[in-house]
Amino acid sequence: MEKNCKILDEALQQLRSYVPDGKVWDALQSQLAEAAMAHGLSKLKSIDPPQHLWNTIPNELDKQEKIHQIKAFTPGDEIWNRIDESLDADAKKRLFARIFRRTSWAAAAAILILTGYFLIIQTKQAPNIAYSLEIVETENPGLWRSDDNEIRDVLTEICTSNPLACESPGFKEKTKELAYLDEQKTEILNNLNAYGQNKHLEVMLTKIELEKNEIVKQLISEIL
Amino acid sequence: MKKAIHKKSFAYLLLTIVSIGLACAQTTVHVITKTFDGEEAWTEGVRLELNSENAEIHCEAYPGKTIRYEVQFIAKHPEKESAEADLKKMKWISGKQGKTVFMRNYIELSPDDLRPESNLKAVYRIKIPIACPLTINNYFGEISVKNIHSTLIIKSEFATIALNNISGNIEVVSKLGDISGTALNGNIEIISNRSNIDFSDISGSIDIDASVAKIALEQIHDLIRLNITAKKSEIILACGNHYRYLLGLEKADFEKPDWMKMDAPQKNETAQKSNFLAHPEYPVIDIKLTVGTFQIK
Repeated sequence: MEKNCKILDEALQQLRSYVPDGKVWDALQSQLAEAAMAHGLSKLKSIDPPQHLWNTIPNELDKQEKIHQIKAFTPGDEIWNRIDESLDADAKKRLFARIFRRTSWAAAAAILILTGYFLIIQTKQAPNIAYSLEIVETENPGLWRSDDNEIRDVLTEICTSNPLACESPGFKEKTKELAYLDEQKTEILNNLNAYGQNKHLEVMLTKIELEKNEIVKQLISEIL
Repeated sequence: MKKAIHKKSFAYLLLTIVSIGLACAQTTVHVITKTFDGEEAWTEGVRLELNSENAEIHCEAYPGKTIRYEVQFIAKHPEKESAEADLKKMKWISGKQGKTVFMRNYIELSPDDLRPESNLKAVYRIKIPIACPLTINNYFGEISVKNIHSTLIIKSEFATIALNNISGNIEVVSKLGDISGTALNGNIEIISNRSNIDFSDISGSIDIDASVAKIALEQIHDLIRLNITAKKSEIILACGNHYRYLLGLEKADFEKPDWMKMDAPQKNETAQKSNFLAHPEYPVIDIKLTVGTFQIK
């Protein structure tokens, strides 16, 4: 341990401190860097790049220069809002497209099901039409009318010759019955068709004719 | 030998001529058939009503729960175009109104249309649930109903009616359409105008009102009561001596069978009675006939 350490410390503290300028430090640093760099550079392997690389360097430099020359522009709020809206619109379009895709599939499926349903129903209910040929015996409905005039003429003749008899209630009732039978006969004849099987109708007509005959005979016997 | 050959040749010639003659009355017609079918739901209380014309109706019950139907429209005419045009005039509608399922076919003519020349016919084939009440109104055609065990109402003109195995309330009104039936049981009411009635195997309570008809009833059993009121008709009953007879016959022929013992006539009574005193427990057969014939077998 040094003697008079305390005195030395006091003396040191009284010494003026000196802070060098920043330039000095910079210079020192650059000198140091230069020295290191020179040393490093001497060790570097030298490579000669190909010509096309040299060509791209000026283009790139020009590009960078032009980019730096572009004026910086700060867009206003309106433009930011429009950008916002367009982004929203895009998002909406995408959403609508998604919804539309899904609903169109659902609609297509529904249409398919409904079409299938109606096709099946239509097939089930649609009338089926068949064609064939048949040989039938044709008939002449007019043949059934041939006797009517004769009967009418006979009765008219009878009443002309004996009018009193024709006024009796019994006679009138029978002529009423005869008229009724003629009406039924007309109805049947209107339904008689030349191309159909009319067996039942002809049986009915026969019955009517037989009954009419009986009535006419009774009328004649009453008068004569 | 030669003579025999000549005779045979002459016979064949004659037959050929006759056949040709007959063939001249025949013609070939185009037959167009339109068929459609369907099914209607049925629940208890729902009834089926058919209104048809020129229709052949076949209806029977089946153990199902729906009303099934097949309808055919048939048109016949020598010209195909005429048959097709007339077939289009045949219309059919069906639907449900309240508790009634109805079906109807008709011919629709516009003011300019002529009456169809084709032979037109509708054919119904229907299956209904066993308990389904049925009403048929038909004008010209045929009606065939079987295995119904419910209420049956038929009103028809110029249509034959065939009933088979029907039980329940049966009401038939027919004009110029013969009625035949087997295995009929229940409350049976028939109104006939110039429609013959031919029933066998019948039971229950029977009321017949007929005019100018032939009425034949046989295999009558489990009878509650039989009333026949008829004029200008023939009545034939095959029922033997197991009933009380009440006969009101006016201008009617009646050949009394040997086993029939008539009760002593009472004052102010015109009708003849049989078995009323001897067998008061027997069911009553009441016949009122004005002009006609009555026969008991």
